[in-house]
Amino acid sequence: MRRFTKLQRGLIIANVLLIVISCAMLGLRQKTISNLGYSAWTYIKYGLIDYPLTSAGSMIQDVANLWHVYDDNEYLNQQLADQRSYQTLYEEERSKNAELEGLIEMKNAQEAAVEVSCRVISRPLDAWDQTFTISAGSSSSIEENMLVVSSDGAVGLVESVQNNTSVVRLLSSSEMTNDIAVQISLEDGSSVEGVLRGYDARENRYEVTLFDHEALVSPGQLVSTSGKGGNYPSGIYIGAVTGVKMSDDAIISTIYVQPVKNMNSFTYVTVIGNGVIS
Amino acid sequence: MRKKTAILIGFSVLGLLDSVLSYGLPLNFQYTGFSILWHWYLIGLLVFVRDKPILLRFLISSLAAIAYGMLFGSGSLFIWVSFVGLAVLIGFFQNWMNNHTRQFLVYLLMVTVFDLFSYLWMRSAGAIGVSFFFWLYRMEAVTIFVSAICIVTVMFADNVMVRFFLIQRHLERKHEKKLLAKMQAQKATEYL
Repeated sequence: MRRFTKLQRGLIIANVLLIVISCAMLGLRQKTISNLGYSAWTYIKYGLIDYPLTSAGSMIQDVANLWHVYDDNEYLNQQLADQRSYQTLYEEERSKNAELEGLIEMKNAQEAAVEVSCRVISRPLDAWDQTFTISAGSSSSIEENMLVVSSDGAVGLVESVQNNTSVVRLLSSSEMTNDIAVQISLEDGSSVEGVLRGYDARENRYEVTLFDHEALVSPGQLVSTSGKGGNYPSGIYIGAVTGVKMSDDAIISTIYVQPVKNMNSFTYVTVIGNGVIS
Repeated sequence: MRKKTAILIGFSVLGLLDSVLSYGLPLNFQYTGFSILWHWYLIGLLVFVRDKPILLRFLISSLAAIAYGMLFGSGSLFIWVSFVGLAVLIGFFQNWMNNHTRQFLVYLLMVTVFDLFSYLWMRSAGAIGVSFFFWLYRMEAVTIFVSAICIVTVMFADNVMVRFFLIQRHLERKHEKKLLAKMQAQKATEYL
């Protein structure tokens, strides 16, 4: 009989040993009384191999999920920032729309006048309540002293005209040189006339001098252009009466008029004047 | 490092590699995508036993199969039959495998045969229902490619280990010769 080498003998013993252990494990698995032995081996295998592998896998998955969460967060932040921009843009467009609708209404009411719709292209911060520049000039039949109105009413007079742009002097400007002839419609159907002399920046109101000291003017009455003097038609809304002041000689009374609401912020205006567009 | 320790560590690492990679890239049994069957341990076994006598091949592969089944696999009879069968079979190619290219081809063939055998085994057991060509496309295509890389890696590692132990043995012999010469000189001095 052939004799085995030392290595072969060792391998045979190891094989037999492992086969016995395997068979024992298979046998133990079937019997409830031996669950302890089977469980011990299962726990060893689980602790040495399965659990570390599962933990490593879970860790990798968690890190991957964390990365996804980070990406999602970045995306949502971006969306939120865009949303804010959209909201601002929406508000701006809505404001422009309201302005344009107001201007269309006003344009329909002034059939006989020259009307040029244009956009405010510049309003310097250092002269915010003095002047602004519009995108229409002599090429659009704009002339000096035409009245410039926003969607709420009159806001200024054309001061100088270039080819494609014009500079407008606001009615609230302290340097407005030309007086504006105005009228106030009274309750009895008549009207009283006067002149817009200036603007009180501290009280945010126009000062209007009336020619008729006996007229019954009360707060809330509407003031509009009279069309007498200047290069614009009558009936353009200037503002509403807020107060009345009688002079000492009681001949000329001064009334205070509140300007249009959007005096400080408008984008579109209409230039209104007498005559026809060339 | 002792050779036996290195072999044990090597097989443990290969078995762990199979487990880790199988866990990280699990098989797609719905066959909706490509899958990879990892064979680090089998390749290592084949590389290790290819030049051993048939009895040693049988014993080593049997031991390796049982250990693999207990520690890393499901411990089924299939693993034992295939590991032992392939280990015994590869010895018959021993004379033909006289260069690296032929060795590579034989290892690749053995791995493919193992997969084919597993397909037939599972098919006969009713565990798999897809057609052979679909299985070949979804399961085996990438596996063969990846196995080729594994084979090259294990062959390289085997070469490194063989050279390392050769040099170690050479140094030990040199040291023994020196000791022997020293002892002889000492004996001669005592005799005089």
